[in-house]
Amino acid sequence: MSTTADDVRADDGAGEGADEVPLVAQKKHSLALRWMHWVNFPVLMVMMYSGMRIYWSDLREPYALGIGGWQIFEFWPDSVNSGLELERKLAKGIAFHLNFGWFFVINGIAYMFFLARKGEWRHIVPDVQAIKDSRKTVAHDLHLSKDKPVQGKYNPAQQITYTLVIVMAALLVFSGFAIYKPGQLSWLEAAFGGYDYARFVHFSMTILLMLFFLTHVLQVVRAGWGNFASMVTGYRLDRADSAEVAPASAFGPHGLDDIDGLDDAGADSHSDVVADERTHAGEGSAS
Amino acid sequence: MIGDARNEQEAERERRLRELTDDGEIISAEEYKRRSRRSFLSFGALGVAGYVGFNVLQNQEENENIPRALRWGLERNDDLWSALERDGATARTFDISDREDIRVNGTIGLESELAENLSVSMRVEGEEYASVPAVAARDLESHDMVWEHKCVEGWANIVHWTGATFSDFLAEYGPEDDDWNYVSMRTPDEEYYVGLDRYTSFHDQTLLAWAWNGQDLTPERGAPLRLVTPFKYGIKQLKRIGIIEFTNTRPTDYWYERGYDWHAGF
Repeated sequence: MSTTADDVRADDGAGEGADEVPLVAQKKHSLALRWMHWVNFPVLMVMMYSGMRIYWSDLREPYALGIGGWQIFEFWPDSVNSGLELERKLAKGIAFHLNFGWFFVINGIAYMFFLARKGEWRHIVPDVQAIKDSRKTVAHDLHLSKDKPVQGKYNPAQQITYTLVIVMAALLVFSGFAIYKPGQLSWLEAAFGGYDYARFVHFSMTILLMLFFLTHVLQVVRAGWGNFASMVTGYRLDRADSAEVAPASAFGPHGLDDIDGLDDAGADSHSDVVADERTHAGEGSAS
Repeated sequence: MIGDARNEQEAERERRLRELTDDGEIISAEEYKRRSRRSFLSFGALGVAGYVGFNVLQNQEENENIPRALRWGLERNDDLWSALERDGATARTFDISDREDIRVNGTIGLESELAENLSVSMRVEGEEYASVPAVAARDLESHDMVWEHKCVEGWANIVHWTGATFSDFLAEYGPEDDDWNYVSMRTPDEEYYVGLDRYTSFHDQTLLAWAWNGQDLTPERGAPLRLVTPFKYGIKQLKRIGIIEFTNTRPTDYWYERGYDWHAGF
Protein backbone atom coordinates (compact mmCIF):
# COMPACT_ATOMS: atom_id res chain seq x y z
CA MET A 1 0.00 0.00 0.00
CA SER A 2 1.30 3.35 -0.89
CA THR A 3 0.63 6.08 1.55
CA THR A 4 -1.12 9.09 0.12
CA ALA A 5 -2.22 12.24 1.73
CA ASP A 6 -5.80 10.98 1.62
CA ASP A 7 -4.94 7.79 3.47
CA VAL A 8 -3.33 9.69 6.26
CA ARG A 9 -6.41 11.81 6.63
CA ALA A 10 -8.65 8.76 6.65
CA ASP A 11 -6.59 7.15 9.40
CA ASP A 12 -6.73 10.27 11.47
CA GLY A 13 -10.47 10.19 11.18
CA ALA A 14 -11.12 6.77 12.71
CA GLY A 15 -11.14 5.10 9.31
CA GLU A 16 -14.82 5.55 8.72
CA GLY A 17 -14.69 7.73 5.67
CA ALA A 18 -12.39 10.33 4.41
CA ASP A 19 -13.88 13.48 5.93
CA GLU A 20 -15.65 12.12 8.95
CA VAL A 21 -14.44 12.84 12.43
CA PRO A 22 -15.76 10.24 14.89
CA LEU A 23 -18.36 11.18 17.43
CA VAL A 24 -17.42 10.62 21.04
CA ALA A 25 -19.10 11.57 24.27
CA GLN A 26 -17.52 13.09 27.32
CA LYS A 27 -18.95 13.07 30.81
CA LYS A 28 -20.18 16.52 31.79
CA HIS A 29 -22.60 16.10 34.68
CA SER A 30 -22.36 13.45 37.38
CA LEU A 31 -25.37 11.38 38.37
CA ALA A 32 -25.65 13.23 41.69
CA LEU A 33 -25.67 16.59 39.96
CA ARG A 34 -28.34 15.48 37.50
CA TRP A 35 -30.57 14.18 40.30
CA MET A 36 -30.20 17.36 42.31
CA HIS A 37 -30.86 19.45 39.21
CA TRP A 38 -34.04 17.66 38.22
CA VAL A 39 -35.47 17.25 41.73
CA ASN A 40 -35.62 21.03 41.86
CA PHE A 41 -38.06 21.18 38.99
CA PRO A 42 -41.12 19.36 40.45
CA VAL A 43 -40.33 20.54 43.98
CA LEU A 44 -40.15 24.20 42.98
CA MET A 45 -43.28 23.83 40.86
CA VAL A 46 -45.19 22.55 43.91
CA MET A 47 -43.59 25.19 46.14
CA MET A 48 -44.49 28.05 43.82
CA TYR A 49 -48.00 26.74 43.26
CA SER A 50 -48.72 26.21 46.95
CA GLY A 51 -46.97 29.47 47.77
CA MET A 52 -49.27 31.31 45.40
CA ARG A 53 -52.26 29.71 47.12
CA ILE A 54 -50.97 31.01 50.45
CA TYR A 55 -50.27 34.42 49.00
CA TRP A 56 -53.78 34.64 47.56
CA SER A 57 -55.43 34.46 50.97
CA ASP A 58 -54.71 38.08 51.83
CA LEU A 59 -54.70 40.46 48.92
CA ARG A 60 -55.37 43.71 50.73
CA GLU A 61 -51.88 45.00 50.05
CA PRO A 62 -50.66 42.96 47.11
CA TYR A 63 -47.09 43.11 45.89
CA ALA A 64 -46.95 44.91 42.61
CA LEU A 65 -44.49 45.49 39.85
CA GLY A 66 -43.97 49.09 38.92
CA ILE A 67 -41.52 51.81 38.05
CA GLY A 68 -41.59 54.94 40.17
CA GLY A 69 -45.23 55.55 41.00
CA TRP A 70 -46.41 53.79 37.87
CA GLN A 71 -47.77 50.34 38.55
CA ILE A 72 -47.57 47.79 35.78
CA PHE A 73 -49.47 44.97 37.42
CA GLU A 74 -50.32 43.42 40.74
CA PHE A 75 -49.45 39.89 41.75
CA TRP A 76 -51.33 38.07 40.54
CA PRO A 77 -53.80 39.13 37.88
CA ASP A 78 -57.29 37.65 38.37
CA SER A 79 -56.83 35.47 35.32
CA VAL A 80 -53.88 33.77 37.01
CA ASN A 81 -55.70 33.41 40.32
CA SER A 82 -58.72 31.71 38.84
CA GLY A 83 -56.86 29.93 36.06
CA LEU A 84 -54.58 28.17 38.53
CA GLU A 85 -57.35 27.66 41.12
CA LEU A 86 -55.49 29.61 43.76
CA GLU A 87 -58.64 30.90 45.46
CA ARG A 88 -59.73 29.59 48.84
CA LYS A 89 -57.09 26.89 49.03
CA LEU A 90 -55.04 28.24 51.93
CA ALA A 91 -55.02 25.11 54.11
CA LYS A 92 -53.95 22.89 51.23
CA GLY A 93 -51.46 25.50 50.13
CA ILE A 94 -49.83 25.47 53.55
CA ALA A 95 -49.90 21.66 53.75
CA PHE A 96 -48.10 21.28 50.43
CA HIS A 97 -45.70 24.14 51.13
CA LEU A 98 -44.59 22.93 54.56
CA ASN A 99 -44.13 19.35 53.36
CA PHE A 100 -42.41 19.91 50.03
CA GLY A 101 -40.22 22.67 51.41
CA TRP A 102 -38.14 20.02 53.15
CA PHE A 103 -37.28 18.38 49.83
CA PHE A 104 -35.87 21.68 48.63
CA VAL A 105 -33.94 22.12 51.89
CA ILE A 106 -32.52 18.58 51.77
CA ASN A 107 -31.65 18.97 48.10
CA GLY A 108 -29.96 22.27 48.87
CA ILE A 109 -27.90 20.81 51.70
CA ALA A 110 -26.86 17.87 49.51
CA TYR A 111 -25.86 20.34 46.80
CA MET A 112 -23.76 22.39 49.23
CA PHE A 113 -21.88 19.23 50.21
CA PHE A 114 -21.50 18.38 46.56
CA LEU A 115 -20.14 21.83 45.71
CA ALA A 116 -17.64 21.65 48.54
CA ARG A 117 -16.49 18.04 48.35
CA LYS A 118 -16.31 17.47 44.62
CA GLY A 119 -14.85 20.89 43.99
CA GLU A 120 -17.80 21.65 41.75
CA TRP A 121 -17.84 25.19 43.13
CA ARG A 122 -14.75 25.90 41.04
CA HIS A 123 -16.84 25.41 37.91
CA ILE A 124 -19.49 27.79 39.14
CA VAL A 125 -17.97 30.63 41.15
CA PRO A 126 -16.57 33.16 38.65
CA ASP A 127 -13.10 34.61 39.07
CA VAL A 128 -12.36 38.29 38.49
CA GLN A 129 -11.54 37.70 34.83
CA ALA A 130 -14.83 35.86 34.30
CA ILE A 131 -16.75 38.77 35.79
CA LYS A 132 -14.93 41.10 33.38
CA ASP A 133 -15.61 38.71 30.50
CA SER A 134 -19.32 38.27 31.20
CA ARG A 135 -20.10 41.33 29.08
CA LYS A 136 -18.49 39.60 26.11
CA THR A 137 -20.61 36.47 26.62
CA VAL A 138 -23.78 38.53 26.58
CA ALA A 139 -22.62 40.41 23.47
CA HIS A 140 -21.79 37.09 21.83
CA ASP A 141 -25.14 35.54 22.75
CA LEU A 142 -26.96 38.56 21.35
CA HIS A 143 -24.99 38.13 18.12
CA LEU A 144 -23.35 41.52 18.61
CA SER A 145 -19.88 40.05 18.67
CA LYS A 146 -18.07 36.97 17.47
CA ASP A 147 -15.63 37.17 20.33
CA LYS A 148 -16.22 34.31 22.78
CA PRO A 149 -14.34 34.58 26.06
CA VAL A 150 -12.25 31.73 27.42
CA GLN A 151 -14.33 29.50 29.65
CA GLY A 152 -14.33 26.31 31.64
CA LYS A 153 -17.41 24.14 32.10
CA TYR A 154 -19.66 27.21 32.16
CA ASN A 155 -19.23 30.54 30.43
CA PRO A 156 -18.77 33.72 32.49
CA ALA A 157 -22.42 34.73 32.22
CA GLN A 158 -23.52 31.26 33.31
CA GLN A 159 -21.11 31.35 36.24
CA ILE A 160 -22.48 34.66 37.47
CA THR A 161 -26.09 33.59 36.94
CA TYR A 162 -25.69 30.22 38.65
CA THR A 163 -23.87 31.77 41.58
CA LEU A 164 -26.66 34.30 41.98
CA VAL A 165 -29.26 31.56 41.71
CA ILE A 166 -27.60 29.68 44.56
CA VAL A 167 -27.59 32.85 46.66
CA MET A 168 -31.23 33.51 45.77
CA ALA A 169 -32.24 29.97 46.67
CA ALA A 170 -30.47 30.32 50.02
CA LEU A 171 -32.27 33.62 50.68
CA LEU A 172 -35.51 31.94 49.70
CA VAL A 173 -35.00 29.15 52.23
CA PHE A 174 -33.80 31.39 55.06
CA SER A 175 -36.56 33.95 54.59
CA GLY A 176 -38.97 31.01 54.49
CA PHE A 177 -37.80 29.82 57.89
CA ALA A 178 -37.96 33.40 59.22
CA ILE A 179 -41.64 33.49 58.22
CA TYR A 180 -42.27 29.93 59.39
CA LYS A 181 -40.77 30.18 62.89
CA PRO A 182 -40.31 33.81 63.93
CA GLY A 183 -40.67 32.73 67.58
CA GLN A 184 -38.02 30.04 67.94
CA LEU A 185 -35.97 31.66 65.17
CA SER A 186 -36.62 35.28 66.10
CA TRP A 187 -32.94 36.07 65.33
CA LEU A 188 -33.55 35.01 61.74
CA GLU A 189 -36.65 37.17 61.50
CA ALA A 190 -34.57 40.06 62.88
CA ALA A 191 -31.79 39.35 60.35
CA PHE A 192 -34.26 40.07 57.56
CA GLY A 193 -35.35 43.27 59.28
CA GLY A 194 -38.68 41.88 60.44
CA TYR A 195 -41.56 39.73 59.30
CA ASP A 196 -42.77 41.99 56.50
CA TYR A 197 -39.30 42.26 54.98
CA ALA A 198 -38.80 38.51 55.25
CA ARG A 199 -42.06 38.02 53.35
CA PHE A 200 -40.98 40.55 50.75
CA VAL A 201 -37.61 38.80 50.28
CA HIS A 202 -39.35 35.43 50.07
CA PHE A 203 -41.73 36.71 47.40
CA SER A 204 -39.07 38.61 45.43
CA MET A 205 -36.70 35.65 45.32
CA THR A 206 -39.55 33.53 44.00
CA ILE A 207 -40.25 36.01 41.20
CA LEU A 208 -36.54 36.21 40.36
CA LEU A 209 -36.28 32.43 40.28
CA MET A 210 -39.30 32.30 37.98
CA LEU A 211 -37.54 34.75 35.67
CA PHE A 212 -34.38 32.67 35.87
CA PHE A 213 -36.38 29.58 35.02
CA LEU A 214 -37.79 31.22 31.87
CA THR A 215 -34.33 32.44 30.81
CA HIS A 216 -32.83 29.06 31.59
CA VAL A 217 -35.36 27.24 29.40
CA LEU A 218 -34.87 29.76 26.61
CA GLN A 219 -31.10 29.36 26.75
CA VAL A 220 -31.35 25.58 26.76
CA VAL A 221 -33.59 25.73 23.69
CA ARG A 222 -31.01 28.00 22.05
CA ALA A 223 -28.14 25.75 23.05
CA GLY A 224 -29.84 22.80 21.44
CA TRP A 225 -30.70 19.19 22.07
CA GLY A 226 -27.19 18.00 22.94
CA ASN A 227 -26.98 20.44 25.79
CA PHE A 228 -30.37 19.38 27.16
CA ALA A 229 -29.55 15.70 26.74
CA SER A 230 -26.31 16.12 28.67
CA MET A 231 -28.33 17.04 31.77
CA VAL A 232 -30.25 13.77 31.36
CA THR A 233 -27.53 11.39 30.21
CA GLY A 234 -24.55 13.08 31.81
CA TYR A 235 -22.61 12.96 28.54
CA ARG A 236 -22.07 15.44 25.80
CA LEU A 237 -21.90 13.88 22.36
CA ASP A 238 -19.78 15.74 19.84
CA ARG A 239 -17.17 15.45 17.14
CA ALA A 240 -13.96 14.06 18.53
CA ASP A 241 -12.03 17.16 17.48
CA SER A 242 -14.57 19.56 18.91
CA ALA A 243 -13.69 21.90 21.70
CA GLU A 244 -17.19 21.37 23.07
CA VAL A 245 -16.41 17.80 24.01
CA ALA A 246 -12.98 18.19 25.40
CA PRO A 247 -11.60 21.68 25.57
CA ALA A 248 -8.24 20.37 26.68
CA SER A 249 -7.89 17.94 23.82
CA ALA A 250 -5.46 20.02 21.89
CA PHE A 251 -3.34 20.83 24.88
CA GLY A 252 -4.08 18.65 27.83
CA PRO A 253 -2.34 15.52 29.03
CA HIS A 254 -5.37 13.26 28.65
CA GLY A 255 -8.62 14.19 26.93
CA LEU A 256 -8.71 13.37 23.27
CA ASP A 257 -5.03 12.45 23.07
CA ASP A 258 -6.02 9.01 24.25
CA ILE A 259 -8.60 8.56 21.56
CA ASP A 260 -6.36 10.07 18.90
CA GLY A 261 -3.67 7.62 19.84
CA LEU A 262 -6.05 4.70 19.52
CA ASP A 263 -7.34 5.98 16.24
CA ASP A 264 -3.82 6.33 14.94
CA ALA A 265 -3.24 2.71 15.70
CA GLY A 266 -6.09 1.77 13.43
CA ALA A 267 -9.68 0.68 13.36
CA ASP A 268 -9.08 -2.51 15.36
CA SER A 269 -7.96 -0.83 18.52
CA HIS A 270 -10.80 1.63 18.17
CA SER A 271 -13.25 -1.20 18.39
CA ASP A 272 -11.28 -2.43 21.41
CA VAL A 273 -12.29 0.71 23.21
CA VAL A 274 -15.89 0.03 22.41
CA ALA A 275 -15.49 -3.57 23.54
CA ASP A 276 -13.99 -2.41 26.82
CA GLU A 277 -16.84 -0.04 27.40
CA ARG A 278 -19.28 -2.80 26.57
CA THR A 279 -17.80 -5.03 29.21
CA HIS A 280 -17.95 -2.14 31.60
CA ALA A 281 -21.58 -1.44 30.83
CA GLY A 282 -22.33 -5.15 30.85
CA GLU A 283 -21.32 -5.35 34.50
CA GLY A 284 -24.00 -2.88 35.32
CA SER A 285 -26.83 -4.31 33.28
CA ALA A 286 -26.06 -7.96 34.02
CA SER A 287 -26.33 -7.55 37.75
CA MET B 1 7.29 43.00 28.81
CA ILE B 2 3.99 43.89 30.47
CA GLY B 3 2.15 42.41 27.50
CA ASP B 4 4.08 39.17 27.84
CA ALA B 5 3.27 38.86 31.53
CA ARG B 6 -0.37 39.45 30.73
CA ASN B 7 -0.43 36.86 28.00
CA GLU B 8 1.33 34.41 30.25
CA GLN B 9 -1.27 34.99 32.93
CA GLU B 10 -4.08 34.48 30.45
CA ALA B 11 -2.50 31.33 29.12
CA GLU B 12 -2.07 30.03 32.65
CA ARG B 13 -5.73 30.73 33.41
CA GLU B 14 -6.81 29.07 30.20
CA ARG B 15 -4.71 26.03 31.07
CA ARG B 16 -6.24 25.83 34.55
CA LEU B 17 -9.77 26.09 33.19
CA ARG B 18 -9.08 23.33 30.66
CA GLU B 19 -7.55 21.09 33.26
CA LEU B 20 -10.52 21.64 35.56
CA THR B 21 -13.06 20.94 32.85
CA ASP B 22 -11.34 18.10 31.09
CA ASP B 23 -11.68 15.42 33.73
CA GLY B 24 -14.78 13.83 32.25
CA GLU B 25 -14.71 10.20 31.14
CA ILE B 26 -14.79 9.76 27.36
CA ILE B 27 -16.88 7.04 25.76
CA SER B 28 -17.60 6.03 22.19
CA ALA B 29 -20.69 7.16 20.35
CA GLU B 30 -22.05 3.64 20.39
CA GLU B 31 -21.69 3.34 24.14
CA TYR B 32 -23.20 6.79 24.50
CA LYS B 33 -26.23 5.67 22.55
CA ARG B 34 -26.75 2.76 24.92
CA ARG B 35 -26.31 4.78 28.07
CA SER B 36 -28.40 7.67 26.88
CA ARG B 37 -31.26 5.34 25.98
CA ARG B 38 -31.17 4.02 29.53
CA SER B 39 -30.94 7.53 30.99
CA PHE B 40 -33.86 8.82 28.98
CA LEU B 41 -36.00 5.83 29.88
CA SER B 42 -35.29 6.36 33.59
CA PHE B 43 -35.87 10.08 33.16
CA GLY B 44 -39.23 9.51 31.50
CA ALA B 45 -40.26 6.90 34.04
CA LEU B 46 -39.40 9.19 36.93
CA GLY B 47 -41.28 12.04 35.29
CA VAL B 48 -44.40 9.91 34.85
CA ALA B 49 -44.05 8.56 38.40
CA GLY B 50 -43.80 12.10 39.73
CA TYR B 51 -46.86 13.22 37.83
CA VAL B 52 -48.92 10.20 38.88
CA GLY B 53 -47.65 10.51 42.46
CA PHE B 54 -48.70 14.14 42.66
CA ASN B 55 -52.18 13.32 41.41
CA VAL B 56 -52.52 10.42 43.84
CA LEU B 57 -51.44 12.75 46.63
CA GLN B 58 -53.95 15.41 45.67
CA ASN B 59 -56.83 12.95 45.49
CA GLN B 60 -55.83 10.87 48.48
CA GLU B 61 -58.28 10.16 51.26
CA GLU B 62 -58.21 13.06 53.68
CA ASN B 63 -57.44 13.28 57.37
CA GLU B 64 -59.11 16.37 58.86
CA ASN B 65 -59.47 17.92 55.41
CA ILE B 66 -55.88 17.34 54.28
CA PRO B 67 -54.61 14.42 52.18
CA ARG B 68 -53.38 11.81 54.62
CA ALA B 69 -49.73 11.90 53.60
CA LEU B 70 -49.62 15.67 53.93
CA ARG B 71 -51.31 15.48 57.34
CA TRP B 72 -48.69 12.95 58.37
CA GLY B 73 -45.98 15.37 57.25
CA LEU B 74 -47.55 18.27 59.15
CA GLU B 75 -47.63 16.15 62.31
CA ARG B 76 -43.92 15.33 61.87
CA ASN B 77 -43.23 19.05 61.45
CA ASP B 78 -45.09 19.63 64.71
CA ASP B 79 -43.00 16.96 66.46
CA LEU B 80 -39.82 18.54 65.19
CA TRP B 81 -40.66 22.07 66.22
CA SER B 82 -42.14 21.02 69.56
CA ALA B 83 -38.88 19.21 70.30
CA LEU B 84 -36.89 22.33 69.37
CA GLU B 85 -38.95 24.69 71.52
CA ARG B 86 -36.57 26.16 74.03
CA ASP B 87 -37.02 28.05 77.24
CA GLY B 88 -36.12 31.65 76.82
CA ALA B 89 -37.19 31.94 73.20
CA THR B 90 -38.83 35.33 72.98
CA ALA B 91 -40.83 36.86 70.20
CA ARG B 92 -39.78 40.30 69.05
CA THR B 93 -41.47 43.11 70.96
CA PHE B 94 -42.15 46.67 69.93
CA ASP B 95 -42.71 50.10 71.36
CA ILE B 96 -46.29 51.00 72.31
CA SER B 97 -46.11 53.87 69.79
CA ASP B 98 -45.65 51.29 67.01
CA ARG B 99 -49.06 49.74 67.60
CA GLU B 100 -51.44 49.45 64.66
CA ASP B 101 -55.09 48.77 64.06
CA ILE B 102 -56.00 45.17 63.50
CA ARG B 103 -58.82 43.69 61.52
CA VAL B 104 -61.55 41.62 63.17
CA ASN B 105 -61.16 38.43 61.25
CA GLY B 106 -63.63 36.01 62.76
CA THR B 107 -66.77 35.94 64.86
CA ILE B 108 -67.26 32.19 65.19
CA GLY B 109 -68.20 31.40 68.79
CA LEU B 110 -69.15 35.02 69.42
CA GLU B 111 -72.61 34.95 67.89
CA SER B 112 -74.51 34.04 71.03
CA GLU B 113 -75.25 36.82 73.46
CA LEU B 114 -72.39 37.78 75.76
CA ALA B 115 -73.39 37.00 79.34
CA GLU B 116 -72.78 39.69 81.91
CA ASN B 117 -70.11 38.79 84.45
CA LEU B 118 -69.05 35.77 82.44
CA SER B 119 -67.31 33.08 84.45
CA VAL B 120 -64.74 30.66 83.10
CA SER B 121 -65.50 27.00 83.71
CA MET B 122 -62.28 25.34 84.87
CA ARG B 123 -62.15 21.61 84.12
CA VAL B 124 -59.85 18.60 84.36
CA GLU B 125 -60.61 15.87 81.83
CA GLY B 126 -64.21 17.06 81.52
CA GLU B 127 -64.88 17.55 85.24
CA GLU B 128 -65.46 21.12 86.40
CA TYR B 129 -63.51 21.91 89.55
CA ALA B 130 -64.00 25.67 89.67
CA SER B 131 -65.76 28.58 88.07
CA VAL B 132 -63.64 31.71 87.91
CA PRO B 133 -65.15 35.10 87.03
CA ALA B 134 -63.35 36.50 83.99
CA VAL B 135 -62.78 39.78 85.82
CA ALA B 136 -60.70 37.90 88.41
CA ALA B 137 -57.80 37.93 85.93
CA ARG B 138 -57.57 41.69 86.42
CA ASP B 139 -56.53 41.15 90.03
CA LEU B 140 -53.37 39.39 88.84
CA GLU B 141 -50.25 41.30 87.91
CA SER B 142 -51.01 43.29 84.76
CA HIS B 143 -48.63 43.29 81.80
CA ASP B 144 -48.50 45.45 78.72
CA MET B 145 -46.97 43.68 75.76
CA VAL B 146 -46.55 44.83 72.16
CA TRP B 147 -45.81 42.27 69.50
CA GLU B 148 -46.67 41.42 65.95
CA HIS B 149 -49.92 39.50 65.70
CA LYS B 150 -49.67 37.11 62.75
CA CYS B 151 -52.52 35.65 60.79
CA VAL B 152 -52.26 32.38 58.94
CA GLU B 153 -53.54 34.29 55.90
CA GLY B 154 -50.25 36.14 55.76
CA TRP B 155 -50.98 39.54 57.23
CA ALA B 156 -49.43 40.80 60.44
CA ASN B 157 -50.00 43.83 62.65
CA ILE B 158 -48.25 45.21 65.69
CA VAL B 159 -50.69 45.04 68.57
CA HIS B 160 -50.59 46.17 72.19
CA TRP B 161 -52.23 43.83 74.67
CA THR B 162 -52.94 44.28 78.36
CA GLY B 163 -53.48 41.19 80.47
CA ALA B 164 -52.16 38.71 82.99
CA THR B 165 -49.78 35.93 82.05
CA PHE B 166 -51.53 32.61 81.69
CA SER B 167 -48.88 31.12 84.01
CA ASP B 168 -49.88 33.56 86.78
CA PHE B 169 -53.50 32.61 86.16
CA LEU B 170 -52.54 28.93 86.37
CA ALA B 171 -50.67 29.47 89.63
CA GLU B 172 -53.84 30.97 91.10
CA TYR B 173 -56.61 28.98 89.44
CA GLY B 174 -54.94 25.98 87.81
CA PRO B 175 -55.82 22.42 88.84
CA GLU B 176 -54.33 21.05 92.04
CA ASP B 177 -52.78 18.19 90.18
CA ASP B 178 -50.21 19.55 87.73
CA ASP B 179 -50.32 16.38 85.65
CA TRP B 180 -51.53 17.67 82.27
CA ASN B 181 -49.98 18.17 78.86
CA TYR B 182 -52.62 20.17 77.04
CA VAL B 183 -55.17 22.87 77.55
CA SER B 184 -58.40 23.09 75.62
CA MET B 185 -59.98 26.53 75.53
CA ARG B 186 -63.47 27.03 74.21
CA THR B 187 -65.98 29.82 73.79
CA PRO B 188 -69.01 29.64 76.11
CA ASP B 189 -71.13 28.20 73.27
CA GLU B 190 -68.28 25.78 72.37
CA GLU B 191 -68.55 26.82 68.71
CA TYR B 192 -64.88 27.81 68.60
CA TYR B 193 -62.18 25.87 70.37
CA VAL B 194 -58.41 25.68 70.43
CA GLY B 195 -55.84 23.28 71.83
CA LEU B 196 -52.72 24.58 73.48
CA ASP B 197 -49.53 22.78 74.47
CA ARG B 198 -47.82 23.10 77.83
CA TYR B 199 -44.86 25.01 76.45
CA THR B 200 -47.03 27.81 75.11
CA SER B 201 -49.26 27.78 78.18
CA PHE B 202 -46.35 28.60 80.47
CA HIS B 203 -44.59 30.97 78.10
CA ASP B 204 -43.95 34.45 79.53
CA GLN B 205 -45.56 36.03 76.47
CA THR B 206 -48.80 34.09 76.69
CA LEU B 207 -51.47 36.34 78.16
CA LEU B 208 -55.10 36.30 79.10
CA ALA B 209 -55.88 39.78 77.84
CA TRP B 210 -58.72 42.15 78.67
CA ALA B 211 -57.51 45.20 76.73
CA TRP B 212 -56.29 45.85 73.19
CA ASN B 213 -54.37 48.97 72.14
CA GLY B 214 -55.25 50.58 75.46
CA GLN B 215 -59.00 49.97 75.29
CA ASP B 216 -61.11 47.32 76.96
CA LEU B 217 -61.90 44.51 74.55
CA THR B 218 -65.14 44.85 72.65
CA PRO B 219 -67.24 41.67 72.21
CA GLU B 220 -66.00 41.08 68.65
CA ARG B 221 -62.41 41.42 69.84
CA GLY B 222 -62.91 38.84 72.55
CA ALA B 223 -64.35 40.47 75.68
CA PRO B 224 -64.23 39.82 78.51
CA LEU B 225 -61.06 37.70 78.38
CA ARG B 226 -59.14 36.26 75.46
CA LEU B 227 -55.99 34.29 74.84
CA VAL B 228 -53.08 36.03 73.08
CA THR B 229 -49.58 34.80 72.36
CA PRO B 230 -46.95 35.67 69.76
CA PHE B 231 -46.08 31.97 69.56
CA LYS B 232 -49.24 30.95 67.73
CA TYR B 233 -51.11 32.16 64.68
CA GLY B 234 -54.27 34.16 65.34
CA ILE B 235 -56.39 31.06 64.72
CA LYS B 236 -55.21 29.71 68.11
CA GLN B 237 -55.82 32.92 70.05
CA LEU B 238 -59.29 32.23 71.35
CA LYS B 239 -61.67 35.11 71.99
CA ARG B 240 -64.24 35.14 74.80
CA ILE B 241 -62.86 32.31 76.93
CA GLY B 242 -65.73 30.28 78.43
CA ILE B 243 -64.07 26.97 79.26
CA ILE B 244 -60.49 26.07 80.17
CA GLU B 245 -59.93 22.34 80.33
CA PHE B 246 -56.73 20.53 81.31
CA THR B 247 -56.13 17.19 79.69
CA ASN B 248 -53.59 14.61 78.63
CA THR B 249 -55.28 13.90 75.32
CA ARG B 250 -54.42 16.38 72.64
CA PRO B 251 -57.59 18.47 72.29
CA THR B 252 -59.05 19.16 68.91
CA ASP B 253 -58.92 22.55 67.37
CA TYR B 254 -61.43 24.39 65.21
CA TRP B 255 -59.04 25.10 62.33
CA TYR B 256 -57.16 21.82 62.73
CA GLU B 257 -60.39 20.10 61.76
CA ARG B 258 -60.51 22.33 58.70
CA GLY B 259 -57.14 21.40 57.30
CA TYR B 260 -54.60 23.46 59.24
CA ASP B 261 -51.80 22.07 61.36
CA TRP B 262 -52.42 21.61 65.05
CA HIS B 263 -49.22 23.26 66.21
CA ALA B 264 -49.83 26.43 64.14
CA GLY B 265 -47.02 28.02 66.06
CA PHE B 266 -43.79 29.88 65.69
